[in-house]
Amino acid sequence: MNRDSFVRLKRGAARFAVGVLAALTLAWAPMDLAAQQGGNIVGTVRDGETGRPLESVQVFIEGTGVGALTNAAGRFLLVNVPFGDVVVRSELVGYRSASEAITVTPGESAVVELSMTQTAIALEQIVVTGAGVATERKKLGNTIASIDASQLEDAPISSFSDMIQGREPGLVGLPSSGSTGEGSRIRIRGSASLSQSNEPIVYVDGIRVDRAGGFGDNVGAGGLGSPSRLDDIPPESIERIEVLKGAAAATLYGTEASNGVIQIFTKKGRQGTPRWTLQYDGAAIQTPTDRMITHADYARSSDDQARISARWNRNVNLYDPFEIDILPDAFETGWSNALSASVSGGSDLITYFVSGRYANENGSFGLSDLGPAEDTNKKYQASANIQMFPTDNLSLRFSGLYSQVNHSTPSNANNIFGSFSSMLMGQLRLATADNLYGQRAFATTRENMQELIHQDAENFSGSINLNWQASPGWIFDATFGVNAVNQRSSDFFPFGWDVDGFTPFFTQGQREIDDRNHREVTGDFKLSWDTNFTDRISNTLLGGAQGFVNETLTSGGDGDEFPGPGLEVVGAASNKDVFENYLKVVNAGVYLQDQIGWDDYLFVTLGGRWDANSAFGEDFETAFYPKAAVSWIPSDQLDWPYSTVSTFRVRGAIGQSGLQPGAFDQFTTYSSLSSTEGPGVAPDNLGNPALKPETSTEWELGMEFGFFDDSHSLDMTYWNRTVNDALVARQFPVSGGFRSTQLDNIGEVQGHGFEIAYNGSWVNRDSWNLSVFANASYISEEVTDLGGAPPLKTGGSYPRYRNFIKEGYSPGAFFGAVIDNSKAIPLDLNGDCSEPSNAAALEYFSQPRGLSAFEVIPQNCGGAFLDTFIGKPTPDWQGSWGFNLGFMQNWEVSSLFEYKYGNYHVQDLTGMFRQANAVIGRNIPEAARVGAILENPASSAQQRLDAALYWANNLRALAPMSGMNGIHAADFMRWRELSLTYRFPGSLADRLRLSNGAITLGVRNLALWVNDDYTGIDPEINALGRCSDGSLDCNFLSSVEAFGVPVARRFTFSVRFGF
Amino acid sequence: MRMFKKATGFALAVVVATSGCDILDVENPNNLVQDDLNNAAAASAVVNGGLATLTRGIGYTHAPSATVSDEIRWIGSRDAWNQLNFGFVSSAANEFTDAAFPFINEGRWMTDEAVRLLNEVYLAENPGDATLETELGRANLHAGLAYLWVAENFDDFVLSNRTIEAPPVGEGNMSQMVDEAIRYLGEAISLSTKHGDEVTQLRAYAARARAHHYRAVWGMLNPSGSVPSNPLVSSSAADSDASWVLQRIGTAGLWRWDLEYTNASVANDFGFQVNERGELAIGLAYYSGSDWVLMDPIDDVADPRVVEQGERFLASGQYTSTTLASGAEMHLILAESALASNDTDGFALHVNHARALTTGLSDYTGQIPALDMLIHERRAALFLQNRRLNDHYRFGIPSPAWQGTSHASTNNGALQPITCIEVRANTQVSNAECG
Repeated sequence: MNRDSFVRLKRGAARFAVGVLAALTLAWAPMDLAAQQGGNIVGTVRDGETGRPLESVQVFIEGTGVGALTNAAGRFLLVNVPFGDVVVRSELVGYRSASEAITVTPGESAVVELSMTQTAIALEQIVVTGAGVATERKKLGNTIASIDASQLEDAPISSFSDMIQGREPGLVGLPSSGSTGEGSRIRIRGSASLSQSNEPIVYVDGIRVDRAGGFGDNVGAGGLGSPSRLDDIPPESIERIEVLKGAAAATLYGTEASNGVIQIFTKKGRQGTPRWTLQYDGAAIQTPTDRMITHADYARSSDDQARISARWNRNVNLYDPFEIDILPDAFETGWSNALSASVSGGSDLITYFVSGRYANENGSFGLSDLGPAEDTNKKYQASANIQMFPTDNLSLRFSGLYSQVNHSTPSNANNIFGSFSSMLMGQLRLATADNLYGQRAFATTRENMQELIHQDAENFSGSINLNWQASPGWIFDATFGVNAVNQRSSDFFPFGWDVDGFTPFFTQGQREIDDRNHREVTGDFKLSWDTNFTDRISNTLLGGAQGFVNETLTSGGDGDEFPGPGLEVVGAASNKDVFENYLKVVNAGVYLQDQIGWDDYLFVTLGGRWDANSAFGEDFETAFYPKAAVSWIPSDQLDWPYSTVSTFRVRGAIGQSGLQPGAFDQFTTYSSLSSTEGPGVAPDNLGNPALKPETSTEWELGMEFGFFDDSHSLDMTYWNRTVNDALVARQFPVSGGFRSTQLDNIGEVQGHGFEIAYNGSWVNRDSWNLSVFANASYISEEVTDLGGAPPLKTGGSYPRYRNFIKEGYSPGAFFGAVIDNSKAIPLDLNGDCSEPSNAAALEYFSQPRGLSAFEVIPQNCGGAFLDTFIGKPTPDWQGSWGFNLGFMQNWEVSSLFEYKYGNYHVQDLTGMFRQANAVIGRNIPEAARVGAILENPASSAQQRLDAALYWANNLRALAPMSGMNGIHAADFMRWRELSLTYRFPGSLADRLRLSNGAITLGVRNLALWVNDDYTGIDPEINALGRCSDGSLDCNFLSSVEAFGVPVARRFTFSVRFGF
Repeated sequence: MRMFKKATGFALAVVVATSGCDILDVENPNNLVQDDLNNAAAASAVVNGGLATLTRGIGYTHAPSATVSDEIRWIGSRDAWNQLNFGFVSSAANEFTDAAFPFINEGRWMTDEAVRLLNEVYLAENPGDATLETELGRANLHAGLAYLWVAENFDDFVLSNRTIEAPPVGEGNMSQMVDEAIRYLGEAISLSTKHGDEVTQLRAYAARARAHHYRAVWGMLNPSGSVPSNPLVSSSAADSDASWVLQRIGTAGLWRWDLEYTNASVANDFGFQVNERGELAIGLAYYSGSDWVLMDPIDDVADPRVVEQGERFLASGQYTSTTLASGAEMHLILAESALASNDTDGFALHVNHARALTTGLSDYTGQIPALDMLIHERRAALFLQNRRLNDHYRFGIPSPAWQGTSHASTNNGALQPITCIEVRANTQVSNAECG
């Protein structure tokens, strides 16, 4: 089907639908249908596996012109059907056609129930993203994934982050924590950039939208509980999500697209009477505590014994370890409620879809009796999509999304004021009524619960699209839109927050605010010409121009020392500091693409895009990104009769896209820095006028198979990517006066991988059916060249974060100290890296020793002992699998499992603190046992030596042995989704005057299986949550568990009605 | 293809230009660019920038040095402070020395840059301009202070310029940093005297007195590794400048030059770590957590100078000031010089002048040995002023927290190193610890 015929079909279908809907209306009216020329057939079309009614199915009588489209309830009405035996057939892209023979008699309405089975392969599916115009998937040589939101109606999801999690190989959602409102970071085929954001660019209905997250630069909850602006998009308004996975597919998006493109299409109205949908989603939220290690301690003195007795009601002997499991105290059962409604309908002149959603969640973090900090997230969301058809060849579409979000989270993560963090750091022997969990530094847990972190955000996206068929084959399409985000975040320590008299930190209060105003303006104009050169050769020529203006104004301030309680504004503080920052990036691009088709089985696409960007250096002009793609479908060419391999396609694509540097990175700049003697300036950015975008070149080869009449499919892709001129945030010698790194086009990063996806219908009977899916992606990445720049380390000088960018290794690879296992006694007792003899060690341990009194011997002791490669933070393999089981006509069970496997390491920084820190750690049973043995005067030298060796081999961590005994293999599988749905049968729906209805019980994050080596709470949590900038930490401080709460388990209940 | 790309670029430019304006030419309102600094109107901002960056750098580097000394102890979560507390000062990978190193380099470079811009740009275009020369006097003072601070706190250093890397000065050549400080301070004295800038003049004399004194201390402690047999310093140049200062302020004067930190300028990381974050605390030899415990050996009371400076420090949050020079220190320089010359009367005279600056302290009349008195007077009068670590080394008094295997214990005189952030970026610097 070429473009022209597709458009004609669409128009025809629309007109047809009007007629059908009009007829449907009549069907419910008390009319004498028998007065018509033929008979009538009424019926319903359902998904054979799920029993879900199917909308927009073409239903027709074979050999006649009689046909109709199904409505939202899957119902259809065929009128003027010839009397006698006829065959009713239904067709829908992505489904095998279904038919049923029936006899039509005068005076009766025949009833037909059609059940359609999904095909596992959908080459006829229409996609838009990356192709420029609506195109059948089979014509594209590159990978494009499509997530159909209707398939997720019953899944236990509540956000956009949930929608994409585990759906497509190579598309990874990184949840970071179980904090309420936490958004997922998104990665497609790993990380293409070393210094720019590795989040894909995101479009909604053709316009670029804000993909940021977090609380802004001036406010931080500690790293987690960070919302994603993409989660402002109400999931019920999404029709489908298309994903371009890399440069080969995303060339037409030019600069910024090398991490892939996600385009969200919102639901549109369909002609007909208003159709309403109401949905309620409720959830009980539970934090798993089974992997949390109990606290342990021992008394060193009689004072300790007295406190332990008073606080924990335990009478303990000196140096006798004891345990109290305090961490479960931090959690309660949370809840979530969401109510959504939508209405759609329209006529041949206008269609509409309008929806609204209210969601309110109070998460599972507890401790509310200690202070007002809370984990809540409230959303008010609305969407509207209105299409007008003033003439047969002109359509106008207005679409809008609006969200208002109110979000609060307790202070958390690797943060001395984190509430849960402080419990993790508790010292049982020091606990008292005023210091409940025994904090030894910073603040008590009760004091931490006084800190209030909050964000209010408004997010609006609005776009106008004009589509004009100027003449046969010529289509002009223009989209203009804006995304506006106003986000205000605050972090507030009230006056007198030192309620236990413990903390020294700004006891008269402190407040930080961050006001982020972000605008993205998109203009997109394209002209396509669709023609057939001959009967066998089709051609689609596309040209277009895109422009983006991205502006961010950030302002805010902080103040400390309020004169008294009740003051909650920065202006009331004694010490105030304000800031304001403005960023603007303008991108303009033009593109040209031609696609030639041969007999509907061979397609060749050539194209290119030129970009100019305000962030390019003065010495650089424009960037050019070419592309080429081939798609060949031998099974269509040969029209082969094999049902075993019913479809076979081969495809290949190569293309480039880029990433531009930051807005002002090209300039040598000085920032304002006042002295006590007047305003001054300080070195800021070294500058580089030759800056240009880094260029990602990717090629991919793929094969798609349909087996057994397409009831099973296998999709395999190999991709290979090289990023040239990679922008490296180079650290020049700080002795030159400039502390900041400077971007330079000096790097190269290579990556390659496989993606495999299987879908299959294993059983498809009337009584039950079963379909199974599985996907896997393999990825290998390597930093091949840093252009002479030194390795980059996450976390700056903070030694506990061990992710590095080093030549020859995967981005973010872990390096650190590793115990020297070649030594029987790897203990350094005299500071010279030498192993003591057994006798010398026993002599040393003949007296009580503290754990800080001696050191261990690492590999390369005395040299760069922190530079031992330990592992990489990304797995070789990751993916998902699951099934859908339908039974008893109206019941369905769905499940999804996700896994990461192979050379996958996660740093358990929480554990490292609890193992080894002399002040706030050593509070797990093993550490308490070892410490007690070493300090106990009654211990023997051999006992102390044994304890010291256990300490060295299992527990020693943190400075100066950063990285030791805390980075572990962490392969895991998580039971991500499980749901049971009961779909109302037609009779029940009719009785309730509904068009459809369903009730779903579900569980999200039901279970977790982790490699036995891993000591942490949850390998999916991370030190940083949803951030989106190009900083080294945001990109590569990954797979580091640092005082986060585990991914929460959600027990969901949903009811959905359509009428 | 090249022509095609150029043509397309031209087409893009035409499209952009015909849209009404060059929308790709985006203004940056957040920062100054290099050209803005080539204007003499920026002179004051450049000099103030030197002071501000140096002030920040001093705060960052003061904290590690103080933590190695017995003035400060670790009570928090970040073990690298504990490593400093234990005396492992030479580790290039220590996160706090590594984090501090860029800041003191920024201050050093910016103060040098201010002097360069004034000499080579502003005054070249406006020769003899009194205002600019006065600013140049201030700039020289800041640069001299920067070099002196570096010499007092680092075993080695690097003087690069922007992206042009330089080799290390060399441990054996760090005295050149003091010499450079003395030269800068001499320029400051000359210019401030010429233009009647008495504030700069006084500060420059006091700083130069300290520089001359430290020059002698440095010679005593280098090459590092052993405790000097005679720890006393006698420098006629230091005596001369100290006498000049005392003459200006009067022998009983309470003059003190504090490097100020305010909410309108920069915060002091040293103060932040102690008073806000709670990572560090005053050493137990001085403060128990509730009481001041360092006793005056003459009056057997908590030394009021420690109490006064300690209370002031603890009450200032992250805006604690750092005393750079004082009348008391000038007296102690002269007292030490006298003691080195066996002038016990002169020693007692200046010690008692210093003690008299604080109410309630009796005169020293030989109750304890003069050297012990000097050690105590420096410890108390110069408390939290970054003198203690070198006094540990000079007088052979280790901090009780130093482990026997630590750098401070095994290499007397060890100071902060060139850290890994520089080593990894500068091909002319190496350190096996940094890989």
